[in-house]
Amino acid sequence: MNSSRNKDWLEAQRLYMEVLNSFCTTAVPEQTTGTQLPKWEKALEHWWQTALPGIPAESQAIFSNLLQQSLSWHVITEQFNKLIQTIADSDEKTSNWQTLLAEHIDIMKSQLQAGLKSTGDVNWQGGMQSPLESWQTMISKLSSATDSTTPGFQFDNLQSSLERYYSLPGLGQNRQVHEQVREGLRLWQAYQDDYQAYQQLLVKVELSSLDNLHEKFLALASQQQAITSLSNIYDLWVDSHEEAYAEYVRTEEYSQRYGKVVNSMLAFRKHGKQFVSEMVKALNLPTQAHLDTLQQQQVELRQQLQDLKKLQETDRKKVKVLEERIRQLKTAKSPQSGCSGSGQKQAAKRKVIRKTVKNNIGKSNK
Amino acid sequence: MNPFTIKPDEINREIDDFNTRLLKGLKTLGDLGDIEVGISAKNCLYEEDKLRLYRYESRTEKQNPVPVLIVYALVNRPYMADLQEGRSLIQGLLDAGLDVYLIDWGYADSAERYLTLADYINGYMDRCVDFICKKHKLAKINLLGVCQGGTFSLCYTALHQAKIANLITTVTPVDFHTGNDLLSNLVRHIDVDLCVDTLGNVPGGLLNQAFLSLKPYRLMAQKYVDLIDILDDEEKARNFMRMELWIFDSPDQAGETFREFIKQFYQQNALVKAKVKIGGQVVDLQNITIPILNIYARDDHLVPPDSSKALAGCVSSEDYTEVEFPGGHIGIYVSASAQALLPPTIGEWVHERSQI
Repeated sequence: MNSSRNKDWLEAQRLYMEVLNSFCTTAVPEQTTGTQLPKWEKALEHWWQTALPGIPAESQAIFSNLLQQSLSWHVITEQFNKLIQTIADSDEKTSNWQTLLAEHIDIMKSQLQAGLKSTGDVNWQGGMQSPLESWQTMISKLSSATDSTTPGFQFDNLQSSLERYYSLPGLGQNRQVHEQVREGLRLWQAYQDDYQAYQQLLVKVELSSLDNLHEKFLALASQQQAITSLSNIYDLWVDSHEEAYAEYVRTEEYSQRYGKVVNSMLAFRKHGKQFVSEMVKALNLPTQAHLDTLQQQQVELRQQLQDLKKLQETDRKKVKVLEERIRQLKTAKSPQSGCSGSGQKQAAKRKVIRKTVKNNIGKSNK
Repeated sequence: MNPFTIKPDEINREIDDFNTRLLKGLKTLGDLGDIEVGISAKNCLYEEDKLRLYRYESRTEKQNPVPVLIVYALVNRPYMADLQEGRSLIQGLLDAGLDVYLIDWGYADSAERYLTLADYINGYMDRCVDFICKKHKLAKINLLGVCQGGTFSLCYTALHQAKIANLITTVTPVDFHTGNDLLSNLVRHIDVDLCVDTLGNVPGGLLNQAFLSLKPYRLMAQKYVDLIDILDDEEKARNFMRMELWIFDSPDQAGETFREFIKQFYQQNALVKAKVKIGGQVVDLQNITIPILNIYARDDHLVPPDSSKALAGCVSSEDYTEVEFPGGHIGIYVSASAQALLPPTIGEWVHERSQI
């Protein structure tokens, strides 16, 4: 990314966006008080789609995160920009802003719930999607059969078709494959059930977050503190969502739902692997199970080798001790047992003269 | 009082300013170039499979004769402890006169699929300790564990205390079922056997997402919005990118090790119950009688303070010191305030118990 070509490219992108930014603010003058955001949002999306191919792969993640969250900032602050406009345009009686705020929060909550009912997927109204995004990213790492945009089944329509398919018996030489496909579909349906339940929980978190946010605004008012920027609102949004989320993640209900959806996805993935493995086996190719067995045996052999090495080391130490003991014993038995090592060598060179003194006492007296 | 006092023209200025800073920031990001991490000079003295045992070059004339072996977690890369000039625990420990070794576990792949906790703790760790003892002609060395590495260090010390002089644990989970342990609650009902049997080695990216999902709004959203405020400062942008590089540089986890660790520690909470088994041996923390320094982070959301503080009730050490540092799980290592406090605290504690 340090080459002059990349620098020129980035500078060109920056100038393009500056011009687009000024176009959005000046092209339609009557729309400069807040409704420029949708245009800016679309412009940013458009720029990202055109710029993406030119960004090096290792930098795409950070660029993408930065842009996506900037979009989120815009969308979230736009939600309350409308409220601010409404309050500014209404009567200035202090109680009125509270009513308007409460109505605004209620509208957001009902839009959230309506979005879930209508599509079978949660329409987050362009707000924070972080827990669901996190889940979708995780799923894309778990399963090659899904990607981060997968969970959007129009489930009600599909279910009746699936139920008809389940009722068909497996027949003929494809019976086994048929049953495997049925099992796969059953597991996929189970995952969808659990995913829907998990989404319901996340909606509860979102609704609770909005209540949290409402309370924070009221608390600020009671403390005579003002919100002086859109970034204040964004930070409060983050705090209220994070607190509500943390509260739910601690619960047994969340733990069980989360566990269920992970387990059902893993079960589906495992079934898929087994399906592929049988096809590979039919082609007389080594399967993952074969490789796993080989690896297990190799690890066991290495462990046995390590154990033998330890045993050998222990035995070596014992042998050394025994050798030293034998040496000491041998040294104790030899005549030059009182000598040092060098004395013993000299003793070995010395000619030994031994005499036997006979007992002549008594014989000479005869 | 109506708290919404922002005027329409102020709103427009703020939006304009935000977009302008975003555009300039994109350019700054593009100009940063390669991001370097791991600044302290080191030498690899021992290798085994993916493991590398490093010894850091000393920065003082005299060092404590008893080396410190740092055991990092498996779930992240150890260069976080040596991120950059002025934000390096390793540098701080070297400046405190310690002789520092570190185990780098490397990046596990399918060759590590069937490695167990026994292979890591009784195998790799034990051989590294033996190597250092032999090199320095010592019977014992000091051990410093980081997070999961701290848990490993506790298990190792309980099983091989004769080789360890002093033990330091940092942000180390001991009790995995404290009420505020979000990570533990998240994995409580996951079928770990199904997970490992299906995935083999557990992808590092998957674990990473799990960690981020504990604070998704701050870690996946607000962090990047706040980034726009610092992108006019190239050095601050570079610091951000160093952390970003480390956060997303997560090794895969050896399947069997993952199975054992999650089941025994996170799900069964067996460590505090003296029921963890490693290589057929029961790990009883009551067997630990050597001096312990237990450091935890006050605002740690990954390893809550209560989880670390539980160590006090599990060991038999008469010389037990507990220290709380301000900061989060990672901030305790990389924040400026922690850098000023943490290495000198460890250095002083070790010197009092080893001759220099």
